[in-house]
Amino acid sequence: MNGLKLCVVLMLLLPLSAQEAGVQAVLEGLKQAPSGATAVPIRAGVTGFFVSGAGDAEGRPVVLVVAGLNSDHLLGVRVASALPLALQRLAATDASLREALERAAVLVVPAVEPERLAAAATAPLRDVRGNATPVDDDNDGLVDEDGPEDLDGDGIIATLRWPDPEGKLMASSEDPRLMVNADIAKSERGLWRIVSEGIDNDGDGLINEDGPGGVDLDRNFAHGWKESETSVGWSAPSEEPARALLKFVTERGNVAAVFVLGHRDNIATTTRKSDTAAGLAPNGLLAEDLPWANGLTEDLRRILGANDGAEDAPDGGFHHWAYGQHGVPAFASRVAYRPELPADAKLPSGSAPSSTEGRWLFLADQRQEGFLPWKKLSHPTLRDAELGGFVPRFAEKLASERFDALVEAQAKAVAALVTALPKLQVRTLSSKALGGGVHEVEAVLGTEGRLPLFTHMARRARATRSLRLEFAVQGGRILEGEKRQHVDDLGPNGMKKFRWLVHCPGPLDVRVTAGAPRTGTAEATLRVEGN
Amino acid sequence: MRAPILFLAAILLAFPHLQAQVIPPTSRARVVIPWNHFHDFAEMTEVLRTLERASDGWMRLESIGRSVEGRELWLATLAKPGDRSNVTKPAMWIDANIHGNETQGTEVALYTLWYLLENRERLPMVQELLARSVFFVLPTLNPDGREWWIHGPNTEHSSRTGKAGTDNDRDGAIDEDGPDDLDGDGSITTMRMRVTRGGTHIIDPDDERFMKRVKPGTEGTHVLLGAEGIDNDGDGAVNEDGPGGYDMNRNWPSDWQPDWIQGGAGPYPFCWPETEAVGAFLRAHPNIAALQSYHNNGGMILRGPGAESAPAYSASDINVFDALGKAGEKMLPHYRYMIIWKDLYTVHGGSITWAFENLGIFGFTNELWADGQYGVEFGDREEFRKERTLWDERLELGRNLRPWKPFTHPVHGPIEVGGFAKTVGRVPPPFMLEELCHRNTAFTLHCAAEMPRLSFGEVHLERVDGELWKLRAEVRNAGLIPTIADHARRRGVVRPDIATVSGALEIVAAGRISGPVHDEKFARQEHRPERLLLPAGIPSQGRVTLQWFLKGSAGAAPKGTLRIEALKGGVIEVALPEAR
Ligand SMILES: [Zn+2]
Repeated sequence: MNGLKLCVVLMLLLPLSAQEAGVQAVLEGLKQAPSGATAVPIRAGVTGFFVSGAGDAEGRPVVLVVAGLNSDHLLGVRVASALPLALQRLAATDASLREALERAAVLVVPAVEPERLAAAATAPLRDVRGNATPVDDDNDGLVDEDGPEDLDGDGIIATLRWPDPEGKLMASSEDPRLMVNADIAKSERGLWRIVSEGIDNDGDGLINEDGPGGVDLDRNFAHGWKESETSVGWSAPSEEPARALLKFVTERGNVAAVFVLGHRDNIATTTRKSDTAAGLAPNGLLAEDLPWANGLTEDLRRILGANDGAEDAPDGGFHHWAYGQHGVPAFASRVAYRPELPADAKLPSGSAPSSTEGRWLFLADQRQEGFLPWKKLSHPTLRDAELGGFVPRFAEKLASERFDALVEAQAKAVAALVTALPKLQVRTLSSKALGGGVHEVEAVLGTEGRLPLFTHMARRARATRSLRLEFAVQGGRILEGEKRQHVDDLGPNGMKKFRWLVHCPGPLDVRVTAGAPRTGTAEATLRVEGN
Repeated sequence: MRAPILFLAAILLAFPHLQAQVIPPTSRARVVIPWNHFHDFAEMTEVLRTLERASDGWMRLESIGRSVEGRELWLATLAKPGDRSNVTKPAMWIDANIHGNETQGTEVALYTLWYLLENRERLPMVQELLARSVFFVLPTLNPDGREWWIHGPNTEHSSRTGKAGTDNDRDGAIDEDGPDDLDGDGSITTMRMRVTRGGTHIIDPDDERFMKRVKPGTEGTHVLLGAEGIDNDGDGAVNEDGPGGYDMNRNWPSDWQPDWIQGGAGPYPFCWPETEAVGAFLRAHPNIAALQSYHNNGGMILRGPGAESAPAYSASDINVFDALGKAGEKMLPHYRYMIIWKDLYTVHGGSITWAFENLGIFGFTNELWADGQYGVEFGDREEFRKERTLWDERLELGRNLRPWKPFTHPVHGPIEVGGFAKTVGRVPPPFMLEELCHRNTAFTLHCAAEMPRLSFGEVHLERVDGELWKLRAEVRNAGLIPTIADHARRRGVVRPDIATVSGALEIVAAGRISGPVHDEKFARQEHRPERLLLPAGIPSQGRVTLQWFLKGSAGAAPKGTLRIEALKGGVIEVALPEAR
């Protein structure tokens, strides 16, 4: 029996949930580079796809697109897989993108931990933020001993609520199906508690407090890492896929911007400005980086329709590390933001949906799915328990229906980043004869684009090699000026003059080369007549 | 501290079999090791192998990983042969030489192994310590840096790093311009050049071996050109990118900060194979309760926190550190007990702070050797040099001072090279090494002796009514070190100790007794009484009282076993007593 047949038979034998089958198809798709893209190994079993214009793309500045840091964000993985082709389509009609892809490249890594995707897709449907690394979440010496159970057998891990005199939650006035924190200041009283669907497997009085696995890869990076919390790993990064990604980025040196598709978002709200004390890593953007960051963020917000965001304080996310320690512009997109609601949207209570949950509830009502009405359930330890609430990954399901539009939007966002990369040029190279074979050579270096050559963070963190400017005059002598010098920055859309005094016994070529791994290289040659 | 005689008597009572085996402490050593020598990697490996061979199974040597250059990370485990409880006994971790030039810690670690093995039958205190504890000893955490310091051209301060290539000057080339041993004497000293104008120094009229800075506005005869070296990569800078260039003691994931804030931190915690291997080992051995990490120098007994911004320690933990640290000050003349950030400088991502804050291991760093031990007072820089020279001549007969020697430098032309060799300053003179090894070993063994020492106090069983019985048990810790540091309890990083009662019985309720003797309160663990959790552990030189309500089988008194499991205190068991 050949491998293919065996595979087919196995697929027939294994009862796959629709979810699992979907994941298998996605994983299959990741094995081959889409046409027009080149495969780049990131680590064993993980491939990135390189998209760029003609010519040698190695050494060009790269916009790195990463998805699949969390295994319950399959949408991100699927959208990322479709990005190479979408970008090529965009480039066919967008001259500025085409031009940008001649000097830069996009590298898409659709699944950082593919081995985890399949495992996370096994029934029942649930939120699985963490990876497979066992973690003793409740520090009781037993590992992964109390995870969720599908008590009513509907294939979904929903929410349990039960009345408790010491509960902190109450039914929302927006809609009694929603549970909100009681506000003591308003004389409200909490009556309920909630927990995810399951039982107290280890009899410690807590439900689902230590489920299978658990390190959230997107909180496992060393910037703002919350070392005292569980689920963030015991070091940063402690998890092999996170380490591999980080090594890849630091070793290549030419990653110039990062775009993450996943659960995180730093686009929907205004940029967070750092306010840490001196001597500690910044907890937001440096003030000097706000001009470019604010402008780009606004554009991305419009392109992605990003709503529903909270201020994004660093807590070990990959994009936090990418800016805070690697010093490149870094954005995190949730891919599917909440669809806009009609202006006259009303919940059954008669009130317009105002909270995030209320808005999602309106959408669920409209579609008759996505929210399970609370129903009584007999539970081994909870009295008067009810089961219901939002269906996990409802937003993802809704988004899948406008998949093509989402791919298009993410591709446009990536295109906005590529075209914003600075374009380094030797704008002019000229000379003036001073007599006696001595010439003054002047080069003007310039950069175009919305982004500076280096972010302020990159220079503060010494995370980049500075721009190296080399001057060569073969057969002549440099009387004044450096053969090789380092230039910190030219500023966004900036220009800077450099001068040399050379002695040329006869007609000679002078050459000026400027570049750094993150900026690409620019060069110019000039013939200087002797004497 | 207790009177030693009483202590010995107590040991002999507890271990009557010891009395017959005591060998006079003056007898000849089984293994002879020169304690006035700094061992290179091959010599160190040979010492370890010899000790292992002569240990009758007490010492086991294994490699827990490999350095960047491929040297084995040798770990010696000292444990009672064939004792199955070795995996749960309280263990002490000892490492040294994480900074390659901080050489003598390795000798202290070797001495500790040697001393324990030599005296395992001679000295009752050693015998007792070995019976109830395990020692993990890593004599060098940075074998590459050590080897380079011993055999490569260095100063007393260089080769602190490991040997992974690092682009210190961010020019794209790695380790391309380190110092050069121009005169080939194995040390990197200073270059001086005679000049006709612009001189900053003159030859000291009192002692021609020294340079003296001239007053501003006066012309000197010489300039100093820094450490021996040439501009290997032709970039106009000398010695700007030497081997390595990072600090493995800034690479641990506790309050870790990036390189530009904490110099030497590396790109992320545990990025080097040496730190990664040690981190993995410490995590895999939760029975490690105490730690020592030897450095040099300055004569310090250091504890965390490493930075003011890091979370403060609890008073009860500080009491433990203080008691041990102050004992150390007495045992180690010229050493001071200090807090890293407060009394030395800020260290983000240090190893002993990670071990304490994230693993709950009480630990110190001893900064081995203090200038004061030379027996002279040192003044300012020039005074210091003169005093050191005098001392070098009179006590070491000129071993360390290199007189000025002419050399033709490729850029500067004729210059002279001279100064102190790397073997003075941070490391002790060889003739004082053995004392340093012994005193620090003694302090570290004192810490080991204060690891949790659990026992049952009063245990009694009484009938409450009908078939209901009450079991009350006191669990004591004679060690200064609690089974769970308060910091670890707050962070939830050490599993609570567990108390169980098993046998012919049924558990109705289990809990702790709290409050003063005249107003005791029973606090029941609401769930899972068969697994009574003690999140605060058994305190420093303290006790906890536990209580169970039990039903015996068929109306008879409960029979069975009471068991305490403490990750850092071992396991103790006792049969349920007869009912009163
Ligand atoms: Zn040190």
